[in-house]
Amino acid sequence: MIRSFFSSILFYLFFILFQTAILSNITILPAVPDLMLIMTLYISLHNGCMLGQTTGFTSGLMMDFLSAGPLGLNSLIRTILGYVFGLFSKTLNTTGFFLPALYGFTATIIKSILLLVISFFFPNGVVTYSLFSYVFLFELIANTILTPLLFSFLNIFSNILLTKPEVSLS
Amino acid sequence: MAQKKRPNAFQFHILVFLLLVIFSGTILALSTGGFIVNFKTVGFSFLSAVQKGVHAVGSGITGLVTAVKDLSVLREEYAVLTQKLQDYEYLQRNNAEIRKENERLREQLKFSQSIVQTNLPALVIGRDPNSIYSGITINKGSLNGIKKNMPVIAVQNGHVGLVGKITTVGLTTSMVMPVYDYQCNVSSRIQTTRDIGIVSGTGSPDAPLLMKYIKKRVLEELQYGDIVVTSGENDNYLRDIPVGTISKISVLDYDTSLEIELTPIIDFSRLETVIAVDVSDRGEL
Repeated sequence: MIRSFFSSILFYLFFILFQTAILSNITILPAVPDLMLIMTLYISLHNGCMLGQTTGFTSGLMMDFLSAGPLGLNSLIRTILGYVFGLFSKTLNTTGFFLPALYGFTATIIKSILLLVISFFFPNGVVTYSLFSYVFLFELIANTILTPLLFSFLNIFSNILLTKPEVSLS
Repeated sequence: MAQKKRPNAFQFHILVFLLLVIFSGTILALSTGGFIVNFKTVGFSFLSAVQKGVHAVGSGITGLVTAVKDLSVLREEYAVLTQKLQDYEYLQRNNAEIRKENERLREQLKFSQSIVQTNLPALVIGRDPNSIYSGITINKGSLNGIKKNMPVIAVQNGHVGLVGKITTVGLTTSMVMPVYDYQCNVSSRIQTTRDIGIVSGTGSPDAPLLMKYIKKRVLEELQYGDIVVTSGENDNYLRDIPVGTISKISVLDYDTSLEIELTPIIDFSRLETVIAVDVSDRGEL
């Protein structure tokens, strides 16, 4: 589990640097795809609640450090997402294209709902998505399409990322 | 059995120790209203330093690939430039004369530079990982003299414009909150009428800025394309730095003020270099 945790952190580090230093500088993109969210989804669906929430928390903290948003916002959202998707560990099929795409779609929707709920309790500083905005729709589509692709990529490293790769459904 | 339990017991001690340290540290932070270490700044310093490295490596690789292509272009340009150089040598001689004349005229007109504050040029190295926030990371930090809340401007196509202000300062990097961010509010004036209002961001660099608190009575005096500049009040920003130009004016029945949309002076999609200005350096004449 510890090996999977630290391996995941390395992947998160790679993804956040890719997101902030490369993807976010491509200004023709209306929004940046949330690779960190997809990674959390992958880890929690394969490794369960414990790893899902801890790696989710750590990835959220990384994002908080590099974001103009308040410290703790992403940590909270990704901890919850890691835990919730961890509940379905080993029960959901993560192979193919459509099911992972559906998970990516659902995770992005849940993220926006969580933001709405959190902004209710912390009205100062927490900005929410406008659910019908171009930015949100782009991110939703991008995450949906990228989830199966990223899952396939991460499966290459399943030996170091998953606690029990031999019994996983992928 | 006793030997097997020792490692667990040892780990439990460490766990209790860590929990107590964290717990007491939290109580201390709560009772004093803050903690001596700003975790956000420390984390930002560390991660953005790595980000800076990745940006440098990325730029290096891009440079290498484009260098090969550029080589063939450079050969063609070389011949053209040789010819141009001869022309410029002639122009330079004229230019030196014009410059001297300009200096003389400036002295005669007693024209002087109006702003002499410390300027810190910086390069944009990253942007916010969140789509709903809009922080811009630059490659200068506290070691270079950057301070929190410093206004940031940029020059594009010969025009100076407001970019935003510094919100987080790391050792070698800083984060700028651009004017189009939801959380950014800038006290501004309409350049022609001198009416003062607040310019707020709408979250997207492509979306217009919103100016509020301009009274309806000035509607007749406003025109599309009028420039809105910083008011300089509260010493948050420099005075008279262009923020945007008026692109739409809405009259709301339920409001005593106009709702004015502005097109930002700065094209944020092309923003590469910025200048942080130390307004605490009182150099204004």
